[in-house]
Amino acid sequence: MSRHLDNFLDALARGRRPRRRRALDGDAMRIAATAAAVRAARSEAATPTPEFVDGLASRLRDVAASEGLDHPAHDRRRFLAAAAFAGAAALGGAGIERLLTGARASDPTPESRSAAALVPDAGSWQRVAALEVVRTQEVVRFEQSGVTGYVLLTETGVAALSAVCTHLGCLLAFKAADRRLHCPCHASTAFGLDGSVSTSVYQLAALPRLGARINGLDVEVLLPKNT
Amino acid sequence: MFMEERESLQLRVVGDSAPELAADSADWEATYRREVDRVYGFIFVRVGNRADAEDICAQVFLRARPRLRAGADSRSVHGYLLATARTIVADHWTAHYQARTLQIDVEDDGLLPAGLAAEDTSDHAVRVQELLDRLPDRERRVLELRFLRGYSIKETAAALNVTVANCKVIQFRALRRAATMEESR
Repeated sequence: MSRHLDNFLDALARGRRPRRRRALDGDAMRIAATAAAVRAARSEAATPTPEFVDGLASRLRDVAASEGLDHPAHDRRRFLAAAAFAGAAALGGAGIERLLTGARASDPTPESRSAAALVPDAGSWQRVAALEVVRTQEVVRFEQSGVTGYVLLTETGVAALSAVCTHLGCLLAFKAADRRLHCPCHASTAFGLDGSVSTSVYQLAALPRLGARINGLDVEVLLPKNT
Repeated sequence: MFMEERESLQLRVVGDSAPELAADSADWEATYRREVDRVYGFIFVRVGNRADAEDICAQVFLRARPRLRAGADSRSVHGYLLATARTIVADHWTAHYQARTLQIDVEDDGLLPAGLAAEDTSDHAVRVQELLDRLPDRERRVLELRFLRGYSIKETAAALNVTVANCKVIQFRALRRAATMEESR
């Protein structure tokens, strides 16, 4: 048994946070996770403390106030919302200005539900993955500047897609088995790697594309500036 | 499945309109208070310690806050929060512990024994006991003392009258056996 796993189990047994940056191989990670689940059966920490619950409630209120969530959103938030609900916008013509579609966002006809492009108002090109990793894995998830997406290898270079389902905003997961992005909330829903709806019982918009490019050894995506 | 949801959902595009602000914030807080225990419990089972569970739970709600607005039906909100929690827990394991060369499926609770991967964790303790009861006696005893009663490895070894090295081996076998156990019910 590795010393890292040993230390991990010790920390768990004492109710402490195991040290990070300690690589575990596959078996060791399953063992560590199983130990965590067994440890979780001890009653005293299975519910959050009132201090934590109140503290987080207050953080959420602060975030809502400072980011203007309950007011007309500023640009960054508007972009994130667009990423989450591009589908709703494309269908309903909700008027997100920066949602650029093949047709127009304000055109609610089904034909306009081809892949939309999301362009932040004040964006910058940001590195999301090493080119070599994208070349090897072909589909790589990233999460940056509040945006979750996938970069992928294409015949002509790289492309990027939002990973947010256009139905209810659940985060999609890539399955290598069928090379599609699956929604964890509704099993019937999946998207192809071109962003198109592959299967769904709902009438959904395609996943929005994000700007992507190769820059030296990196893959960069056009994202809202970090604020 | 859930065909009726499309009609009843009232998720709106953020920034779409400003009215009902007070009601909106209050609604969101009510949603938070209703969900936080279950979301925390879901995460706690998957990380096993309070510090990480609190961090991840905070991330889940902070991420969800701008994306969900008042009026969404509670089942969808719950599903969205758990899906987000699942993703962040998977990221937690990969980011902090996964060897670089390794590719395993942490997304679908692939790390947990089938019997312990339930979404509803209210009877988690019962499930753990059922799992432990299926282990050989000494292995069950080591896991109970170590993880349910917080004994050190030395104390556990003394209680079982074995050496510390031997006790570690038993602990390792017990966890490996438990990790690969099929669901009993």
